[in-house]
Amino acid sequence: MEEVVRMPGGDSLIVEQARHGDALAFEAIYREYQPQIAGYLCRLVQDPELAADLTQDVFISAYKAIGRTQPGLKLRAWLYTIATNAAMSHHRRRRVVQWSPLDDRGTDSPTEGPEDRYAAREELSDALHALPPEQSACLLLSARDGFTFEEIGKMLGISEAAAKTRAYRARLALARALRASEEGARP
Amino acid sequence: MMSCERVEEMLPPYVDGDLSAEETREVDLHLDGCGECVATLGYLRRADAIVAGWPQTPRHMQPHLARIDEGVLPRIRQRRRLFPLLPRFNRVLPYAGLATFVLVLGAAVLALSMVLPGLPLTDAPKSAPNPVVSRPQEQLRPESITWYHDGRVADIGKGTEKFKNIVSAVEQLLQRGARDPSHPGSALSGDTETMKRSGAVLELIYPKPGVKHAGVGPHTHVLLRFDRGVTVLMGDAKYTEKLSVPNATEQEKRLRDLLGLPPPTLFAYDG
Repeated sequence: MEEVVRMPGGDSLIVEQARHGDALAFEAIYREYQPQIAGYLCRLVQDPELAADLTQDVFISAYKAIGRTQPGLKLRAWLYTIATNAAMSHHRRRRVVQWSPLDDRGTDSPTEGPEDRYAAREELSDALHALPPEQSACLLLSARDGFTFEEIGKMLGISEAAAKTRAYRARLALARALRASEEGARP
Repeated sequence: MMSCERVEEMLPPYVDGDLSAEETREVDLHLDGCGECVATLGYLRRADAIVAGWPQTPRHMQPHLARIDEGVLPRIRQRRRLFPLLPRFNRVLPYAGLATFVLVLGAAVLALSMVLPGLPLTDAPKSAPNPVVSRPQEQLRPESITWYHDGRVADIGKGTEKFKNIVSAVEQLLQRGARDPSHPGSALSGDTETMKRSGAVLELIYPKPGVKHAGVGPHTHVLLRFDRGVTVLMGDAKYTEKLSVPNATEQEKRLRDLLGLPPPTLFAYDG
């Protein structure tokens, strides 16, 4: 009987409770969305300590601001928007891109086994971090977090076409990085 | 013939099927004779698959999640302790202006009627009773029932015998709880620490406009929230009161049986 599907916007009632100042409802929202927001930020900034700090900021900001939102708030997109802005602000403040050359990670063979697949995944994380954050955000939001380009455009304040172009560029960059990594590792 | 550089740029929309028929044909033509671009296409597909397979939370992020809790949860709970009536106040506040306006308008009309005694105020038709409130309770049946637990949802279909049984059980529960003098409103305002551990919520959505249950207030939604022997009624945004229901553990078990749902892992039927 228990058909397992994600709440299809079914948290709207909880959101309304939170909008009206119900701290318990907000805590439920926090518990639901904390892992995915933290994961998204971790991919964006490639530093779990920093991602944890930013995630805290995101939810504290959201808690303070949710009472000022309009009815019918699209909670998930709203939280991701706050998270993206937090990461972008941090990036602007630091203006530091930490780029680990893929060659240094030492992939010894083409990716086949589970460990190799894990290594490839993590190498692509590094390559993702080397991208301009607006590109990596577009890629993550579309490919990993399932937002449409229309939604992403609204979240980032750009057109749908611009969001799509940024994601395309990011994907191509990751493909090139993967190729460089594997071809560089071949004897 | 297009250059490799140009074709590479077109590969992501090519993979997504976002190119025009003409562009697709040109890329196909190029790929037929260019091993380099075919290889790039292969790496693109693999990179796409890797990104799509990234876990929601990276492994190296997991140890830091508890630290986020430590930074966020006390802030929420502190505010809850400091402003326990904030939700209620927030909801009442928007109506305060309207109430003031009505009072001022009423005073003005009264003053006018004293100044102008011929004003036909007494001829105004009496307002009809509220059609919603006056409808028999039996006609007010939920449109749907949804059960949430641990972020999952189970929808209970319409028109079935089970649906009727659930509605009947829930409405009895609502009315018993609301009328029970030993369980006054807001009895659980201090018990939210316990409630937070449960995500079990039974939601009934009534047809608009709102339904009035005894002592519960007008609303289109009713939430029954269960946690460790405690049941809480919550209406929609217009509803500010929370009521407990006696024998909540048994009631929840009965509803779970009706819904055909197993007991939650964290729930203890210890009465």
